[in-house]
Amino acid sequence: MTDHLRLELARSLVVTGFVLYIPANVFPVMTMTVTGDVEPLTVLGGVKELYDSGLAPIAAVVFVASILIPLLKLASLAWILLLDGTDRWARQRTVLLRVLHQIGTWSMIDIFLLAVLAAVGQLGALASVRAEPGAIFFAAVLLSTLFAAEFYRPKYIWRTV
Amino acid sequence: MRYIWAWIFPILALAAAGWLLWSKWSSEGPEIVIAFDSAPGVSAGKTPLLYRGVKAGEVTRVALEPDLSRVRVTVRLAAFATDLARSGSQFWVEQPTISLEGAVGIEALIQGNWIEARTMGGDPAFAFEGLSEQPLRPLEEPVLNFSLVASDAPFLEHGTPVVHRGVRVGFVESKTLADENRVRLSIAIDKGHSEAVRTTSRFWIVPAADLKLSARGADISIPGLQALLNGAVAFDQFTGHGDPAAGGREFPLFPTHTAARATGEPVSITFPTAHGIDAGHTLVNVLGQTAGLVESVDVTSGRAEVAIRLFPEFDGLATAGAQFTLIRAAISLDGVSGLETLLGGPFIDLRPGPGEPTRAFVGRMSDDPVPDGVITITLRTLDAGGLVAGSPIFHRGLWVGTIKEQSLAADGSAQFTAEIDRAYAGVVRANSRFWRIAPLAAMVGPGTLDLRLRGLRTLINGAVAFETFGEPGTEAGADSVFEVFASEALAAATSTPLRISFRNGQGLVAGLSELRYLGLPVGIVTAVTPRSDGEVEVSARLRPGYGFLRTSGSQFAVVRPQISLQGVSSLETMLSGIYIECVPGSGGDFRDSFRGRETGAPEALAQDRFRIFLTSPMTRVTPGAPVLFRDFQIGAVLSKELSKDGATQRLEVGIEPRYRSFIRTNSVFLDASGTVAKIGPFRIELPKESIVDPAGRIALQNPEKAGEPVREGHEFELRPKR
Amino acid sequence: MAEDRWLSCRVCNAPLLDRELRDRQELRCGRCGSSVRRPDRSHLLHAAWAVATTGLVLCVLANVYPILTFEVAGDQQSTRIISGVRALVAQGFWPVAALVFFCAVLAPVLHFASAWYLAGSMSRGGKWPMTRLAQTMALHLGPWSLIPVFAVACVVAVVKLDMLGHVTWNLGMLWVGLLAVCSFALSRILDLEETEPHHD
Repeated sequence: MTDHLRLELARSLVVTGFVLYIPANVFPVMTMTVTGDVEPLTVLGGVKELYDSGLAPIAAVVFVASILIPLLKLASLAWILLLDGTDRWARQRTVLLRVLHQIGTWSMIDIFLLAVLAAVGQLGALASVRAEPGAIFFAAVLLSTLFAAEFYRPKYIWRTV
Repeated sequence: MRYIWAWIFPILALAAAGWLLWSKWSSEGPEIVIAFDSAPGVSAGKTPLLYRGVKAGEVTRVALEPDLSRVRVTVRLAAFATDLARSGSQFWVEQPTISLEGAVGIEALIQGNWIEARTMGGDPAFAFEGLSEQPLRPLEEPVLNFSLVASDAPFLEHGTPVVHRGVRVGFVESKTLADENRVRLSIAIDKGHSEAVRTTSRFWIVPAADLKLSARGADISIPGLQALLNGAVAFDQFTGHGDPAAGGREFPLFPTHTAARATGEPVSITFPTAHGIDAGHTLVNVLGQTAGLVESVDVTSGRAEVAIRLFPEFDGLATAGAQFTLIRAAISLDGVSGLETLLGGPFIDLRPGPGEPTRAFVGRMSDDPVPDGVITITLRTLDAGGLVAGSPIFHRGLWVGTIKEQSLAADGSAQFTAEIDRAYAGVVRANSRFWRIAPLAAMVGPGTLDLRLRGLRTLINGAVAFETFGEPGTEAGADSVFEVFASEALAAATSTPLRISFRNGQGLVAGLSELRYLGLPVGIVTAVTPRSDGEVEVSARLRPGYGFLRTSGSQFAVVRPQISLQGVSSLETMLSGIYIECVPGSGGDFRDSFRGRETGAPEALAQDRFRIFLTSPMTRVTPGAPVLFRDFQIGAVLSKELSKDGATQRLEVGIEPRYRSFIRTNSVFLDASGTVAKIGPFRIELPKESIVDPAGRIALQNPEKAGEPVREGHEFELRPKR
Repeated sequence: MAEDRWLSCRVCNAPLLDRELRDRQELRCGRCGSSVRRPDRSHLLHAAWAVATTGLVLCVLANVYPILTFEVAGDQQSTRIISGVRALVAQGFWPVAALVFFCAVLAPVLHFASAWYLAGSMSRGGKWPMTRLAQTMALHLGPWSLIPVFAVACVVAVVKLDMLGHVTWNLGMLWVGLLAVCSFALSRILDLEETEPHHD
């Protein structure tokens, strides 16, 4: 896999991530039905529900992990890729890329949450949790950002220097 | 661009997102707005709109009208349900209910309410008026509508079933006020059952649960589970088959099945009072069968004009001469009459007459006198003993008459005029004997305690009874005069008086103490008079048929309770009082005067006993004690006295003649009385014999080689028990 | 150190002078800030091996025991890691299910297994076969082993479910938590990066 291909894939995946980010956040990720209360939840809706229940810290964790991180990651990658080939902010880009590697996977919280809820949500009408198409988009966003960050190596930043 | 294929990912992503958006958009139909008076449980994003059970849309917004008068529910229809946005569509809020007709699962219960839709087509429309309640069935199923008019229709609601002979053929659609005091029900009959409603059909209300109290007990009939909740409307035709009724026809709705059935021509009956008559409830019975119903009661004329209607099959019974009797419950001291009316309420009893059909009658009350007539007799007594006018007269337990008037006769005795029902006039004979029944009559005899209460009035006032003892004489006509005896025994004792003299007359009471033979009362003591010679002369009368007790040789003995250390004998006298036991004699001639014996043991009275005497320095054996041979009683101790020198006790023993051969010169008599009681430190030992034979017992033993038979009056030694 | 040793940054190729590293220090590139050399941690290999062994055992336990039990109106449902995957597959979301399975089950197990093999091999001088493969696997599977994320997701799930019904922790949650600690410890102890400086 040539460096050029890696660069091209990273660009493509960032764009993909942006494209998927919209449906991932607009469409509900899951439908929770608890004692007759049918509730389709988007990612943001889930955060809002937690916050409304007075669980602000948890809401913050989920918000950061599920919404902020993917968005920042996409934005950061886009910024890094846009500056690819120039030597501006090369050091900052390197640090940012390293940080993205470390925090990127925390976005998986929402997917795991869905899995755990779907597992307990098998009580028929009493409590059921169904995944919705938004979940696939959300997972796809995560994967594309993860792979984009993986394909783009830090050393590409410095190749023109 | 060597790696242009790398851009397949965003393109795929675009395609997927686009597809998802498009599929969502394409699955959505138009948005409609439904205005509801109230929309319980409807919330945006959750409440679905169902059409034939399929989710056809979802509530996206719930808002109030600006003037707060109604709720505006915005529903996003699914694409396939676009045709629900038609002017002919109807929407209502469906709430899961537990109904007995269709059980709803727990899922529906907890899923909450939903909006249900149905459509009849029409032009596209996007704003609707929601229905306030669920229409009962899809409009496309044709129904036949009738209206029912009633003065009152409680618990009949929207959805109440309409049944015909047990088949559900329709339902109540609506209930409205027809005019100021009538209710109009609109019912819908399935097209398939439209033939069931005839022009002659009569409709009635089936209550939720029908409780019938009858003499057989309570009977609850529940016409069905659905009806249990809100009753039902039933209909049937009782007069002819009729023609199928056209839709829209108006029928009266009767409150009960009976009312619906009473289709006969109205019959008017005039009663002196309407007490107990309940229009719409009081029944007309023929021979105990319900034959009609009181329709209305009018008392404006001062008398009760009761209008009844008979069932069609009984309509012909309202003929001239028919008697209408109002039967009511009467609780009096004599008892309860018309008991069945206590449960079913008063009713009108119809006894058909022979004449032509007619429509107006005069009714009578159940307590009017029976016009059957009586015969009047006069009763006299020295002691009225509580008898008053109204006291009943019984014959063998039957109430045959009543004392009507009381007065004082010239000789100072009380005099009563009594009426005997003509039906029983024949049992009053010239030789009938009347006696008073004490307010509370009890007969106590050996082994029996018999309390006889002859009705409530008797309990308080007493009564008179009569009986003809012996051969019935001629029929006593009206105005015969009879004496009233104080008791049945006195009345029954018709013989000439016996005179019995006793040394001790203690406890004998004139009019109470009885003469008994083999335990049966055979006569009564009529007088007890002390004589100058220190004896008591007892006058007694015997009942008819016991003349043989007057033969010479008859024995009479006073039986008193004996309570001694050995126990209690003649216990029954404690309750029945002292009586005189009679033993018939064998003589051929009759006597009027006897000498009574003092000892109470009846066995001692036998004349033909083989007598022997036992002497003992000291024994506890008393008269009445049995003499046993091989544990078999062969005789009894008749009397006990001191010997002339006072050194020994002498017992007179009577042995039954057939056993006299057991008494031999070498026979040995043993005092076999048990010890009275052994009172040990821990137990009380009462020998069995002392309870069985309170007078003690004597055992006879014969040696192996029997001696010569003895003569009567032989004297033996009573040996103490070994 | 008799002679200055020059190293070059793997990221930006900047040359930099090697120096003695004290404990917990690392040599960073002055230009791009990347780590160029870390202190030798080979003395911790036994510890790493022990942690990896513990992790493998915990992997089994965490997957066998139920994590939590949810109860609504008397009806209850307990869940294991794999039940979430199953539920998603049952609902037709197999891509998501595969991702969850990979990140929460497969990757942790393979990661610990390869790390165990690598640590075992290296503590014996790298004599075992395919040590290289194990290193590559451990290196690339590490980022996909998301047990700590899963543990946090479980906490969030419990908080969320607690609003709706009755939730009880089960023993499996303890194993998941310990496994998260283990994987964190392993990443600190076992140096998988190819940090061997290459000489000019």
